[in-house]
Amino acid sequence: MTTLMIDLANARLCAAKTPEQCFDASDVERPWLSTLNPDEAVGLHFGRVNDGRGYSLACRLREKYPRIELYAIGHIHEDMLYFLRRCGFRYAHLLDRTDSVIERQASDELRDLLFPFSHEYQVSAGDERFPKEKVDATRQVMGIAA
Amino acid sequence: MYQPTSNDIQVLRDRARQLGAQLARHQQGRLSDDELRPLRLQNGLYIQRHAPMLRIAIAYGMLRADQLRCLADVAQRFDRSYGHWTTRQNMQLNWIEVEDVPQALEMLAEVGLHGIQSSGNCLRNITSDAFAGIAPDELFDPRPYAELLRQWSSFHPELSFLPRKFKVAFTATSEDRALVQIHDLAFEAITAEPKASFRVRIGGGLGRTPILGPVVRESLPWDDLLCYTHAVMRVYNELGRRDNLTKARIKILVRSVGVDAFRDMVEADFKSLKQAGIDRVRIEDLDRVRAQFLDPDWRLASVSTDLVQSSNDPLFARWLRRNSKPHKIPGMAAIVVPIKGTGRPPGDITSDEMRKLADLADRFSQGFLRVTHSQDLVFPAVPSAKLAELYEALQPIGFAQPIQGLIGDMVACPGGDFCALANARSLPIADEIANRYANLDEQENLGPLELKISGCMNSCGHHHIGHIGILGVDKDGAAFYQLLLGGHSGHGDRASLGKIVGRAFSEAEIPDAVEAILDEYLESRLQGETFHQALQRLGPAVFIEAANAVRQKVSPPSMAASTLEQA
Repeated sequence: MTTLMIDLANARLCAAKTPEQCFDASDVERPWLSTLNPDEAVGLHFGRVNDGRGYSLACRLREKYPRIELYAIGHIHEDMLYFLRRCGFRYAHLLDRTDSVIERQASDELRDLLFPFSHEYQVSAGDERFPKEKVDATRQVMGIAA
Repeated sequence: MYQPTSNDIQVLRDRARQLGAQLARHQQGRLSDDELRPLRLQNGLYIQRHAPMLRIAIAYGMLRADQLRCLADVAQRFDRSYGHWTTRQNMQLNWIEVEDVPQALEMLAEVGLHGIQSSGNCLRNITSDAFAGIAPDELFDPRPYAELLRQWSSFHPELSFLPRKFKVAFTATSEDRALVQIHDLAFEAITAEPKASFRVRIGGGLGRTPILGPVVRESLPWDDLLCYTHAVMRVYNELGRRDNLTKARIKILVRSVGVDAFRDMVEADFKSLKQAGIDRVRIEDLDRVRAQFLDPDWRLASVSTDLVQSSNDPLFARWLRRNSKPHKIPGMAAIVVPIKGTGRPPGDITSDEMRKLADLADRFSQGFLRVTHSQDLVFPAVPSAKLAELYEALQPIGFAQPIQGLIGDMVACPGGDFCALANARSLPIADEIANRYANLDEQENLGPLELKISGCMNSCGHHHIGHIGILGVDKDGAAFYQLLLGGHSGHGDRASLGKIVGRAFSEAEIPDAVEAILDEYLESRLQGETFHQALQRLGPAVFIEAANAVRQKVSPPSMAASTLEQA
C-alpha cells in the first residue's frame, strides 16, 4: 500500500492524506451539499471505471467554491490524472499498480500524464485561466443543481 | 476550409504520442482492458470482428487533396490499401494493427487529420451540410461555429466520459441536408450574421429507439453556443442512464423527463455557466477561427454560367444534371462524385483511387473536397468551363456515374463483413441490388430514391430515414432483413422515420422484395411522382403486399450475431 499521492497542481508526489469529508463522485442526489464545509478538504470517491459524473461534480464545486481543495480517491488510474487536474482536483490517490509513476517516482512521465497537450482548447475548473474573481462575485446566484 | 495552426498540429502530434504511451501502459499492466477502452475509442480505435479498426474524423466533412493523399498512404502502409467513407463523414480503416495506430496518427497529424473523438462516449466528430459555405440557400456559413465547438469539445476534461456517445450537427439552410433531426444536439441557423442565432434540437437519433429531435430552444445567440452546449452536456453527463447501455443516449433522458423539464434543467445550468463566464465566446474568438478558413479562389469562376455549355454529349448532360449541385458563386459548380456502383461496397475507395481523385481535385477544384453523409465525395469549386474536362477525367477511373440521389447511390454500413455489432451482412445485399439496377436508364426511370441499409439496430446505415430501409436482424442465429418504408432524410421535404413492415425477409428474399416494391411503384405512380410521393399517396399496404409475394418457403442460414463493442 503506497503512502504517496499525486499533487496534481505541481506535478509531484506527496504524502498521502484522506480528507474527513468524502463523498461518492457518482452521487447526483447530494444531500450532503447543505452541510458541506468548503473550507475543509473534500474527497470524491470514484467507484466505477469510466463514470464521468465525478468530473461534473468537481467542476460544480469549484465553480461554487473556487478555493475548495478536492481529492480524487477510489478507482483512479494514471490516465485519469489529466482530466482530474483540469476539473479542479488538487490531489489524487492512485490505484496500486506495478511500475506506476508513484512506484517508480517517474517525474517526467507524471508531467506527461498531467500535461499531455501543448495547447488546451477550453477553460476549465482546474485552469489558471478559470475566472475565479468572477465566480466569487456571482457565487450567490450560482446553485449546485439538484 | 479550416487550416490547422501550428498549435493544432502540435496537439495532434501530442495526441498520437499520448495514445502510444497509453498502449504501452496497457502492455505493462498499468491500464486494464476496461480502462484502456475509452482511451483508444476516443482516438477512433476499435477492436472489430476480424481486426482492429481506425476511424479517422473528417471535421464537418471538409477535406483537402493532400489530406486525401495522406489517407491513401496510411491505408496502403498500415491497412489493405483501401478505406471506407462512413455516414458521419469519417473514414474507416478496417484492417489496421493496434501497434501501428500511433504511427498512423502521427502521419495523419502532419496534414491536420486525426481520430480524436471519432468514437467513445464523448462529443463525436461534428457534421454539417456537405455544401456548407458554397450553398446558395444558406443563411451564413456554419463551419466556423462548428470549428469553435470542435475545438472546445476536444479533450474536454469534464465531458469525456458521458453515459454514451453524443453527436452534433450544424446547418444553415432551411432544407435539412445535415440530418439535424437525428442528432443528439443540432444547431439550425435562423438569423443572419452579424447577429447569428440558432434553433437548437435535442435528443434525436436512430438506433434501437429512433426519435426525431424536438426543439429545446427556439433561438440561441451565436456567442452562447459553447455555454449552452456545456449546460446540455452537463445535465446529460449527470443524469443520463449508466446502468443500461441501450437506454444511455440523451434521447432516452429527454423522453423520460420530458423536453420541458429537460429544458428547465439546461436553462438553470446555462444561467450559472454564463454568469461564471467560463465558455464565453467573443467576436475575437470567432474571428480567429474564421481567419483560419481558406476558401477556394472564387475569381477562377467561369465567366459563362451555362453549365451545359455547348456540349452535345447526352451522357455528359445527364451526369451534369444528376451530379452537379447549386453553387453560390455564378460560374462555379459543386460536383458530387458517388463512391458507389456494382462491385464496390458503398463508400469503399482504394488508395490508388484516393490519389487519382486527389489529383483531380487539385486540377479541377483547387484541391478542395467534401465528404457527404451519403458516403460520396464532392468537388466544391469546379469552374463551369472545366466541367466537361472533369467529366472526361472521371470516366476512365469509374467515378463519372450519373447516380447521385438514385438507387445506385445507396448507403450501407460495413455490416457483418467487418463490424462486430452486426446481426447481418449489409454488403452482399447492397451489391445484389446495385447489380439489379446497374442500368442507368432504369435508375433514372425510378427517379429520386434513398435506399439505406444497416446490418444492425445501431443504424450506421441510417435505415430509418431511407425511402426504403433495410435492417439486418438475427433470428435464432440466422441473418434476416426487415424492410422499412416511409422514411425520409430531410432533403427537400420534412424528415420522417420509416416503419418496419411485416416479417423479416431472408438474405435470398430481400433483393426480390425491394424489386417487387419498385415494380409496384412503376406500375402505380402518377406522372412525375417520386417513390416517396407515391408511398405517401398510396400508403404502404400495396407495397407490402408486393413484397410479401416474393417470400420463399426455405431460407438459407447465415451468420449469427455477436456483440463486442458499441458503435
